[in-house]
Amino acid sequence: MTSFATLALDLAAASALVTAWICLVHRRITALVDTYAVQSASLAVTEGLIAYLYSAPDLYLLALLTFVVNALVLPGVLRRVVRALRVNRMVNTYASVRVSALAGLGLLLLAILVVGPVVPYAEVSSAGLLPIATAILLIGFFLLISREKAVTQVVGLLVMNNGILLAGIALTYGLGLFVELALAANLLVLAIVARIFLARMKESFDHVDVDALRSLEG
Amino acid sequence: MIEGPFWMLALLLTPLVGGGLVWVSRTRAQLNASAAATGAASFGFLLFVLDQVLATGPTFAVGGLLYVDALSGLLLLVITLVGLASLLYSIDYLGRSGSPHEASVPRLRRYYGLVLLFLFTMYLVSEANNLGLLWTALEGTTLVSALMVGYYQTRRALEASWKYLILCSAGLAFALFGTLLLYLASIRALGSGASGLDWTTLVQAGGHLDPGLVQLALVFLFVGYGTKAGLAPLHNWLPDAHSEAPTPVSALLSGALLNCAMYALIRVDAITLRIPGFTLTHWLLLIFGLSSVFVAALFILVQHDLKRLLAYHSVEHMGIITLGLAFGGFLGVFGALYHLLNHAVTKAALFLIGGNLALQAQTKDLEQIQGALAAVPATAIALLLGGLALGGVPPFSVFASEFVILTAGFTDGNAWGAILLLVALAIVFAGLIGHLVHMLFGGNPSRHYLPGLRRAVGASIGVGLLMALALGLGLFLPNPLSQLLHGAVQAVNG
Repeated sequence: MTSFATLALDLAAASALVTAWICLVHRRITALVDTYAVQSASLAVTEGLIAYLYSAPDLYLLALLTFVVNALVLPGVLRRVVRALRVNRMVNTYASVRVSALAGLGLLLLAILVVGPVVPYAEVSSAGLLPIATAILLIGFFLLISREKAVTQVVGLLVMNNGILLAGIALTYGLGLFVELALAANLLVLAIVARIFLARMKESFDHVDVDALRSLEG
Repeated sequence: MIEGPFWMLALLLTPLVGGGLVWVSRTRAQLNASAAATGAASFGFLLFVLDQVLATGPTFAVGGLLYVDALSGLLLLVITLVGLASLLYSIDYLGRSGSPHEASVPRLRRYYGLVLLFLFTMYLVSEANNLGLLWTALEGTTLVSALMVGYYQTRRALEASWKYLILCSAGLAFALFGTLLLYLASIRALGSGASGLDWTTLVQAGGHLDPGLVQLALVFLFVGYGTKAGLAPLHNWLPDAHSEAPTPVSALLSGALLNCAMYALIRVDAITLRIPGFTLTHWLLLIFGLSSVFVAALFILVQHDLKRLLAYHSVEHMGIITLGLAFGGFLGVFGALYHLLNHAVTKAALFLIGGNLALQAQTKDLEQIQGALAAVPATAIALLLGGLALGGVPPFSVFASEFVILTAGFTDGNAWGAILLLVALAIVFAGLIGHLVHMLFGGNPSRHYLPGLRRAVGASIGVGLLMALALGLGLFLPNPLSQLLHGAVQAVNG
């Protein structure tokens, strides 16, 4: 049973990484949001398996929290935004899909180089969780800076947060329940604030491309 | 006298109580009174908090989650002063009927509610002992203040606030990653315990922390909190956000919020100072500090917008504070913390004065604001005094703290850093004086000026208080304040 769980943990962590990478190649916003939901679900499964393997019961609660907030509520909010504001369905990019895909691989290598020396320090060392988490963080950041649409930038931010959550688990079994709750609350407020902004942008410019935001320079 | 955590909790909760008052206020007068009363009450509680810190030393609350020492006290002082002045100014700027940006009652309720919530998150930053809570509070400041930057809902304001929200949140995500790595270092040194993320624990662990791990953590923490503190080259969002926000909010962003992020960096600096032979912090502070003062200097020279000019001055002064920390030792840290206070009051005052001038001239364009001295002498003289103070002319306080920082650089073996800082200061001064002369004396005063703020009792008290401090702190440092600064330096250097 344990060996099966270890294998499952590897698979779940790999799935979290691969789905982050897939976020970089999507051309449709709804597909991007769906992929983010799948990524969050993979993360929740990873947390649940670590809770089981390392007998850390607190993490079951965190896994549940991740599943509800990151995999269900946040994607739900984003889908409603896309529908309600009739956001143009295509993801516009500053970097082409091909370049983005390659950049994703480059960021994975970078993550391995940067945090590789620290891996032996991690409390949960299996499945190379720490490099994976760092790669997800960096891929999320790349998504954020290389996409034109406001909704896509929010997804980038959320992917970054998933990376941090995974790093937290891998390094220390999380930061303690209090801090985790605060983080979840922060994410929800972020979603609400983003929703308010997107509605205002729609009102003011009739679209939510950040590309139109070019008047402040120098 | 009341012992224990009563006063620090009272101060922390005052803006929330004030927010409750704002929530139930029905009329414009009630809203303004609630806001002003909250500002005044905060100031009262602050005095008790500071008194307690000076008399009995650091205090803990909520099971060690909250902690107030002299360094927190300094930040609480800055936030409260700037907060009080901004609230008073708000009444004349958009609160009263007939004020230039008069807001409808629902909008005014929302505005005050957000300002008070913003003050609460900043107080939480100052009083957080747990670094995870500190991070959460800083992210909270971003979320709340982004809504205030977008207050006018114009295209430019929305652009600025979105950029601010996304860039600072992304930056802070890196800071959270750094916090995690620091926590790992703490667990490895002390074993896993609930207090491993507490600043007080980390500072004591000092020498036992793994330097390699802390170095990696430090890079992420610097990128994160450096973004939020507006250090170049991570300052991209700052001029937009500070210039598009309503004037009292600009004063809060520049005078109070930047210092909250700087405070997080100072706390991290204090931890790494306890690790023997750890030099990465010094170099990061030096590089970020120098790049900030030089980038700011160049943009100040070519600036054509009044509020953006002031915003770039914020980048410059954050850089100066960072350099003071880099020079280190007693003088360097003392100068940095002294400068933090001086810059906060001076810059907040200038934003408020500049906001009035922009109202009178009906533009923020530096090319078009001319001959202000003849047309609107009171505002123009205030602007001149504030400008000279900001430029570091004696006897204003900014000069005093810059002098201390430069002395620290020359005496503690960072002469090159100090010389480069002097060069940058000279460029900034030339640029600033050029802009001031143009605004006050340039051209003919035929441009049509409006009256600006009228019957502005609140605004006058707020600006007067800040300007009195901007001058007074340079002439004479009262004993309690001097004690507070010494205590804060000790908290950093040990």
